Amino acid sequence: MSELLAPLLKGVRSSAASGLDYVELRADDVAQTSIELRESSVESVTRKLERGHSARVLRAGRWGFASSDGMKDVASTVAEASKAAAALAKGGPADTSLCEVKPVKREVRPLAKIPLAGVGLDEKVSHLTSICRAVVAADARMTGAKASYSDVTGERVLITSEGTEVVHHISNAYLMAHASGNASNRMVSVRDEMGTVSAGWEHFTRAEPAEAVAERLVRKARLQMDGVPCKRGTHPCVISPRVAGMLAHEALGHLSEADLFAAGAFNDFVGRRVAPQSVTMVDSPRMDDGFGNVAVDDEGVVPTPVTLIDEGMLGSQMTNREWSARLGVPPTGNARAENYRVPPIIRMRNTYFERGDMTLEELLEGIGSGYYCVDVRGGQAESNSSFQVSIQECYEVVRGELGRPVRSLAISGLATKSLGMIDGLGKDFGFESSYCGKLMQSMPTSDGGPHISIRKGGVVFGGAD
Amino acid sequence: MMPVGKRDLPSVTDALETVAATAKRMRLAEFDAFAVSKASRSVTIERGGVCGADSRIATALHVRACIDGMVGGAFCNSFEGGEVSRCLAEAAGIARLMAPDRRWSGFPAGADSYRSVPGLYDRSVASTDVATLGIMAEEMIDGAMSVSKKVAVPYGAVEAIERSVGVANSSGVDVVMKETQLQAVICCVAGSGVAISPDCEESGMSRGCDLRTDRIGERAGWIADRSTHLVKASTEECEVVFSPMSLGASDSGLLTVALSKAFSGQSVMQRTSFLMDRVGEQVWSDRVTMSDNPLLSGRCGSRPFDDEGLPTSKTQMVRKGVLREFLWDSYFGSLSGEGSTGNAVRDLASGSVGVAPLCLQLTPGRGNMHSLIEEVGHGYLVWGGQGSHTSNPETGEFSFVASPGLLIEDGEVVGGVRGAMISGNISAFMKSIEIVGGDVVDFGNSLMPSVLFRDVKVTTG
Repeated sequence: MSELLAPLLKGVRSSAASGLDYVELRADDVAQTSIELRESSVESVTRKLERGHSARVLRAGRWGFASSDGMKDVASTVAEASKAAAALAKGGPADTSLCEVKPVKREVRPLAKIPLAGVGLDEKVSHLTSICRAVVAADARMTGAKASYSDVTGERVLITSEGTEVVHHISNAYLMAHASGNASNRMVSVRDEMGTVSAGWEHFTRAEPAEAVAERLVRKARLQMDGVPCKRGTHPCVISPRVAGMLAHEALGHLSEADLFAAGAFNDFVGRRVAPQSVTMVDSPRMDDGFGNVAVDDEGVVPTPVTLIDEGMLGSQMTNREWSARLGVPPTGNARAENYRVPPIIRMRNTYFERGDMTLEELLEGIGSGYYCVDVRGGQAESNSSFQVSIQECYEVVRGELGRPVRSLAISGLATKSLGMIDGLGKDFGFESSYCGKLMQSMPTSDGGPHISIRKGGVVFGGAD
Repeated sequence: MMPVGKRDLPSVTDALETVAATAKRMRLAEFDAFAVSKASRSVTIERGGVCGADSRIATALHVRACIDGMVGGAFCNSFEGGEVSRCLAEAAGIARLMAPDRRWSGFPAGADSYRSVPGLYDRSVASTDVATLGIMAEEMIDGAMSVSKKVAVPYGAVEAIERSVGVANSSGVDVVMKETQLQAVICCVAGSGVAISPDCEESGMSRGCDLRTDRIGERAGWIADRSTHLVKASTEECEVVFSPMSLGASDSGLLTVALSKAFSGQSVMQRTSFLMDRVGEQVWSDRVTMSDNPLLSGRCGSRPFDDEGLPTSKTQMVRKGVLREFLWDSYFGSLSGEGSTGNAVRDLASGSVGVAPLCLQLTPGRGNMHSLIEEVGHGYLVWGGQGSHTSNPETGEFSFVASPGLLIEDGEVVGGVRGAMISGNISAFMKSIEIVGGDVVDFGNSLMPSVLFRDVKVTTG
């Protein structure tokens, strides 16, 4: 039994007679270990201990939220949230309601084989050191390597006035490594990232061993150093599973979050075709070692997969309880909060294109000449479906064969147009794990798919000469 | 009577005294502590209306312990004695596991005096209640919608923050400051379907209550309205006006992202700054003078001491295009022999102490964004840079989408463009500055005006 439960239950009881339509209390008691390392020198190691709670209340159709550190006097935090909602009572819309859900009582445990908390600091430092040393030793042109690691373990508890009680035993870990190189006075910098929200330390030693991470970094850095500039403009291309994932996330994913859909470009496409029939895109709360896995969301909803594109037709939206009520659809369990200090908002989980039936060779042959985009370093979406994805590994494609590597570039497009230009989908599958930012909240997500080919006109290539 | 949403701020001074007393009890000869206590109240906007209100209290304590040249760090979110002891014990435990840093020269000694920086705290911001913030939010929405009936407001927020920050260490640093900040952000869109505008964001921040939220809304509404009339962009090299936000926004402004690390002495020592080894050279246009000046009165990045508790100072990194110097904290400043410029910044997520500008300033010229637009025969206006946060600060390479981006013909904005990519290398880019505007906007860690660049590479599909 979590020690956080008793003060939260007392807080919910304190609100019983206060005329609130809904009370949601969340608390965290977590410990984070962060390591920053450059080459073989440890720059910082920090242990972070956080314990606190928050209250979100619905009062006369308006939200009130309050948070406080520690676990003392939860009742006064509920009262503060209630006062905040009441202070707005004179103007603006007051139409917020929630769809009904069955209360959930559940304890969620990670599947870690080697628990993160049981691994010594020396072993974690040694793993990062191995990555950095291997990078620098691989090539005389490599000028530096840096690795950052953080893990969070502990408990997160959710209690609602409807009777939901969820205790999450958290086990999250994330590693990002950078490599720098210099060829003929031209600096290059590449990165690699990986994370898990369900596995333990074995994720880094077995699934992502240090040698494999270093090898990827060095390969990408060498390609950047030896690469040629991309030809600016639009070209046919094949994108890898990692880039396809970023495209899924940025091109349609964000705009299928119900709070963004209403004012987004796909609002006009309800019931219409947005991509060829071969294209299906899903946001799922569960996949093998998905960084966006969610067992119960932060409003107590047991999550379900959402089909965003169904055989080329625009599909469903990801919702929280508020938007489910507004749209009159079942909740999908996409409400997620970064920590107790902020209220849950609609977020993606694991977003991907479904597989097709082509081989990579067939896809490359299909485009003739163009580019093969392999790895990403971030991106961004807009309401009008404009997307931008930075590419850190790319090759020319000449008559269906891989050609010279291409230097750092970015691709962009309008998803309302680009999705319709998808030409073929591979029968393979892969995904990347990273953090997604929305309204100042950072959340782990996975994005993936198969290799995908896109016709000329689908994406625009731009980069430094 | 205490305003709605106003709660007492836990004492940073008490927290630092607790750390010092605990360290003495634990016989920790070398320690350093950074404490923050923050109260904030905010209202959120959704679907064109104020839909919710927040009230938050947060504390953060980061401590470092040094034992025989080995340094460990720990963080907790409580100022209570037991938690402070646990935090220091964690830091000391980590220090004992580390290898000694032979370059470590100790936590820095405090200064005899600190420059007074006026205008950091405004009692009226500290006492602004939720109802007042709600009114300001409604004025912002009204301002946006007054531009055109086509304009909608999907989201926004207004927030009032009161914060205490303090630093103490075993070498005599013991400083505390109080500050306030009022900030507003709004996102507008206009039109619908494939003609819908991109997200047109505008924001403002101030230490005082002088924020005109109606004007913030009007500016966001103006750009959204202008973006709905679609015109075609071309792949070309031409003149481009960049808005203050596209250059200076704290997490996505092109110059903030691309230059903050390049100016850092830490990056110089680690050989990851594209400006290293170039002091004394004419690196950019002679129209460029860039400083870091946290001593300016009432600016949101201004402060008397940095995150190590050392006095801040004005540092001119580039004068008329010539690179003069870099920014330093005590550690890298000691290694380089340059000394600290008071630019230590603590990352409370990872616990690392690094170097960054506190108030990066491109020295303003004359005019504003509209007068710069009038100078352009054919070119573009970049209001926001979609994906500019993915710029590579080590190499200076960038490639982002002008979003919102607008076409300029004969000195006038004639319509919105979609998918126009702007790419290049920041070193070459800064050589092509034509006019620096005078319309400086405060983004917290930067003060940035509009700028007209020539020969900018624009790519379209």
